[in-house]
Amino acid sequence: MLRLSLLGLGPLLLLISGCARQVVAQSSNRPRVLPQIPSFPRQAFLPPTELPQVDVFGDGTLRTDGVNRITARARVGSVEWLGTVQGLKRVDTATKAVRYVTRRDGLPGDYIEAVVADASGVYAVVRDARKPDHVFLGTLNPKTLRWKPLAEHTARGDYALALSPSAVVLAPPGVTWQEDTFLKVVDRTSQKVRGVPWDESLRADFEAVVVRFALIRENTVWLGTEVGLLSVPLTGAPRWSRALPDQELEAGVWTPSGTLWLVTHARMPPNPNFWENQNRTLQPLFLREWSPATQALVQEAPLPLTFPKNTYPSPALYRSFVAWSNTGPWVSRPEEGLLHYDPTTKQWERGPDIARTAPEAAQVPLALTRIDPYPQTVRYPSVSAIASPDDWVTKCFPSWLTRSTSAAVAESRTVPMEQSARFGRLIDPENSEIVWASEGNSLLRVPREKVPAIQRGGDGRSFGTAGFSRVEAERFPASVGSRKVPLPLGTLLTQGDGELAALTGQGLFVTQGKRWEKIKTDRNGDALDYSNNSAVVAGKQGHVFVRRAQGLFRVDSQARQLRPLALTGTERYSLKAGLAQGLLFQESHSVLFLQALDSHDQPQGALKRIELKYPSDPPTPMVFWAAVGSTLWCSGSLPGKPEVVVGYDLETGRWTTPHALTDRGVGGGNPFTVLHGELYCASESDQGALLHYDTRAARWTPLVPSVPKKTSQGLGLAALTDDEVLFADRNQGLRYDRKAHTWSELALSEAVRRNAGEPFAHQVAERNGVCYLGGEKGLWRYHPDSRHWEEVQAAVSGSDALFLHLRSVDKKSVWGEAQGQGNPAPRFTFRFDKRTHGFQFYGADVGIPTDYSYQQVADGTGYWFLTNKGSWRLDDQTGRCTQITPEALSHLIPDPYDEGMVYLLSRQGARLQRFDTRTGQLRTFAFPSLAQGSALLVERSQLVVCADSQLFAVSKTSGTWKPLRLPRETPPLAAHTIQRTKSGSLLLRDYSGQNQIEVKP
Amino acid sequence: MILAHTRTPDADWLGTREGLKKVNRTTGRTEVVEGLPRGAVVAVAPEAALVQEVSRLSACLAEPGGRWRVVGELPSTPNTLAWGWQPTPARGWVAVSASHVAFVPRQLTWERAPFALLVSRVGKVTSFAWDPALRADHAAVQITAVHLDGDTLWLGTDVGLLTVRPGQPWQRLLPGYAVDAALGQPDGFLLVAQSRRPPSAPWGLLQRGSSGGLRAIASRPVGPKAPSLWGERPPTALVRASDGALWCTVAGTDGLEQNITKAQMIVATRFHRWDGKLWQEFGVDALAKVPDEALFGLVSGPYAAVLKTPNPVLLKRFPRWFG
Repeated sequence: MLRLSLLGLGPLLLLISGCARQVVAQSSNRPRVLPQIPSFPRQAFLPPTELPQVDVFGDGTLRTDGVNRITARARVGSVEWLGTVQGLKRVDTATKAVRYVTRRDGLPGDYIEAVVADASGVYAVVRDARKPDHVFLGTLNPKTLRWKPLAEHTARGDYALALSPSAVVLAPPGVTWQEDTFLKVVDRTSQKVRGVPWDESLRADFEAVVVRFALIRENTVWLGTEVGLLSVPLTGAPRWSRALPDQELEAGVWTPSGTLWLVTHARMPPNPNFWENQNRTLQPLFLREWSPATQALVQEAPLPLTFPKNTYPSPALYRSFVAWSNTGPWVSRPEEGLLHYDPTTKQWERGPDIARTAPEAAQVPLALTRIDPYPQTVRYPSVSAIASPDDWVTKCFPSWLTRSTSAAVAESRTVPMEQSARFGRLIDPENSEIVWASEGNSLLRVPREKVPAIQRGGDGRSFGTAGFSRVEAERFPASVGSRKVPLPLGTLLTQGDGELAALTGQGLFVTQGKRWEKIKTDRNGDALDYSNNSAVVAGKQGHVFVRRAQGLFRVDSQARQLRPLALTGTERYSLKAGLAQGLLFQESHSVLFLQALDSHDQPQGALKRIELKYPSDPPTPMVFWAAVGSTLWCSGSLPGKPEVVVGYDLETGRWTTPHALTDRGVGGGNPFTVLHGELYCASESDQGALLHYDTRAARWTPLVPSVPKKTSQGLGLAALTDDEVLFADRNQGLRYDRKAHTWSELALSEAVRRNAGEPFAHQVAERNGVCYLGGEKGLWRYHPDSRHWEEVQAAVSGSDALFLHLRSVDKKSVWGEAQGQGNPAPRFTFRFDKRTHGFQFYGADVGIPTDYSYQQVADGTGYWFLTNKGSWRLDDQTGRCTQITPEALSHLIPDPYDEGMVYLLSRQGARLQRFDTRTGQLRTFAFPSLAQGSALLVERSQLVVCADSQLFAVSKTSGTWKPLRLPRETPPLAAHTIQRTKSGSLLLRDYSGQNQIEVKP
Repeated sequence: MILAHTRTPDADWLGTREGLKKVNRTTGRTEVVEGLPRGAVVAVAPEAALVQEVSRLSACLAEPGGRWRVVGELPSTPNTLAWGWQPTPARGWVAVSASHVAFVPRQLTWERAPFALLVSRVGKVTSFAWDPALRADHAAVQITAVHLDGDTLWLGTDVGLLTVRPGQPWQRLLPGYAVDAALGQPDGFLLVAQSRRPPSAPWGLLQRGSSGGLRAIASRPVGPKAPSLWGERPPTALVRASDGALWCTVAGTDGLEQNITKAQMIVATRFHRWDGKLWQEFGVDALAKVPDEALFGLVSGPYAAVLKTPNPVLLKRFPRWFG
């Protein structure tokens, strides 16, 4: 079974399914009952988030969970009429009989906007499959399930339907003044549709009116709008009335006593300064009971909600809903959950438990009502009042859910490039009833029918997996064992006793003898890593001080522990540097505070404020980087000098002479290196490649002459010994022999390769003749005698905080990424053997590229990492990862007919290759011209390639190219994917997914 | 800069940025009226004036002895238009009936209250609050014409014609029309109005009788269009001359020198005469045929504050106004 990942290709699904059905209808010689789907020109774009998951199976069937994505519901006796994203569904809860009404039955589209029903009829609003801003109102014969269209309307958003014994009212999500008709009313007897025109006064004042809800009672339609409550009589004089004109109505519901409960908020700001006040809160929300009979408020209650402050200007995202039960009104609101108001006691009730006790009348709107944040423009994504409405439906209304429907669809064999874990789930290619998922550090094997609905976040995006129970899923916990991981470096310090300290992503480490030892932290305390903390060396003894959320700590290297400092008042400032006399905190770029330390490196005295007056007029922002002795060193730019370093002596209050490092801006970064109390600067100027600050002469002196061939990429110091100086720029290493005074290029091995692009991010230290170089990708030590680089790593043990991210599954293995503990966390590639149930972990040491990989694909015996700098393959037999091609790939397709062969189409499209995973041979299928290939289909004996909008058949054996002749009227399409349908035609889709054509060569 | 004008049998009363100026029409003598609050006189009627102070409009009435008295205040701030780099005074209206005087700012904004004052001849002051529906729907309403009939205030606005009466809900007529100018008559109203929704109907002359019905009595006059960066301008005043003819004043820039874009924005001032059958257009070259009443429309128009100072048309006709 192959699976078609739909993330980002949502619109195609409708097209695929639609086309597939056409094919079926043709092949069985039945009359075509589906509307003709134009294959060209352009299809309107539908954002994919609301589209159902459709899986294409190897047996040529298409299954969808769309029939379980409920969008609307009406109940008549024991019959549930359920609108879904894949048509209407009739569920008889008494007999358990389920009938689907889809486009096969004449529905003009898949997405059901609204449905109302009573004993004599069912009415639904269906979004047109061809035009996403177009809907049909129609009626369904409850017995024959035949669809009859009644009216059309063009607007995006949530349509409201209201039903009375005599009429059906369609209220669009919004009406603009250009439209003459505000409502559409269906006379149920004659089935005739008439439009109700705008009230002229309203039309003159408002460009558009957004309708939030529509209710009907006794031939009057009540419309809740953003400009008040409108009542529109359906008979007699069409004189509208408007109540609560200064209120925006969010939701409304009838009570049996004939009053309306409304959720409203004021349309006007509470005061003129409201918008200027940065700390403004939202307009308070009210639940109001309003009597249409007396045209007056009966009672009101402020909603006890805590509003997020950042909802304006998108208040529509935070609309409320209201439902009525015999115990009073229920209000729900995104991110707030459900609230119940008791009109008798005038008390609100809320909490996690009340949702369970809520009556169905409150639960249904909670489960189904979604908000369209952009009523006039884009329908998706929608926002629900609850975090996971589909999950809610699963729990509260299990009778709504049915087995996924299936329909015959085109055979598809060439989609592995699009195979990726959707919401962390992968369907097993060997057994389509098995889904692989992950939870924390466990890999889960779940029967497909037990896979719960996909959770949705408040922003409408899907995330993660809903909880699998232990009964449903087979769990395989992963443990990385004892492995060494890199140490991404934030700060490298030399302590007073000459030992080093490194604040890394894995914690704070100090050298003890030849070892790096980790400083212990309380297990439940805050993180200790360079992202969240800062560290400096200060005091006469040169201790390491660390700023954490709990306060300041001094590091006891011997005991490998942190000792808290009794120091308050510095919480608001950042710990910037350490001096012999104390700790330096920074408030702003010109205000510093010095906390003096005594001879035991304990705080002494009060904070001393230091104001920096920068040495230029007008003052130029300078960045303060380092402190040496009593001098603070800054970098910045001065007129005509883009990169200048300058120091400020705290004792004399004087600035050093600004020194230009380069005549070009190099983009900032810390240019300073402090080694054994001396200050150095790598420079690209003609004065020298490495400058040393002579404190006595108060000037910079060159230590190393200029780089003979100037780098334009920035230059950083990598190591400094008596004999040599090593530099790194963004591409290479440079070595300067201090005795021979010669330059040479030097491969700095992994140390520079992994830190490529960040010369200024290097930090350098020296201890006992060994140099250390660190950066965000790791920490290395350099042995000058052997000129050997060695990575410093830390051991990770157990499965602490290990998270599995699934990427790809093939016949033998499940592949993915495991994320360990730390910040940034170490990452491993893992392979799970489906037969032995064992995990294997691979790190950078096996050759896995450290560059960003935009796609990972399993090919049956290996795992590919596709990056912009080439494509690598990790062989599961050898456990080594090697670069197969320096090119970035757009298509990587394992041959389904010849195991071990993988076809590669380079991203630039100029190269088609075949890789034999058994022999490691790479064969190139020369293109007939400089054509740019854009799509590839692997078939039994040939390949089909789309190049320059033309189709070619390429023989697998001879490699000959043969153009495929297409019908003359075929429009040109730069296809991104090609599929062979059952009828033998080819289905081509472009990269956007918006265009597809079906051709028969 | 003349901001307001009214005429009594003996004199022209001119509201200026620096106070109220009285020009004796017989002797030509000019005097500055003392006793008013210090500020710009933005509206004036016989024995009544509206004075812009720093953050308020002071409603002032003249007592029999000639002494001025502040009878009420309206919240206001000067318009901070970019024109001329200094704030222009908020404009206003003073309307007079036999029993009452009404003080109304030129613009109603939602945050200001009260929006208008009604002072009876016996000194009783009534302040009007906003109609809540109107206030919720419109952050600002431009008052383009004011007519006081007894204690009933008729307001021509850009959102229709409003009727305001003490202690009663507001009434709104013609919500689909913007009223550019209005002229109260014993039997109803004459309005220059245009549709609020594009494509905007060109302005026309409408009559609203006492029965409430609305009747179009003339469409927009057809004449040579003056080029304008602001498009076709609506009339700023509708008056009836002594011969019974109606006159519409369309204020132009007439050689405006100060403009923010340095573009040539020269729009000719025009006057249209409606004799009951035909429109007739007069430019500044035929100023002699235009009655004084039509010229006064140049003072009250919305562009009056940004026109060249002194207004060349008024300077030509009323040289004594400008000392």
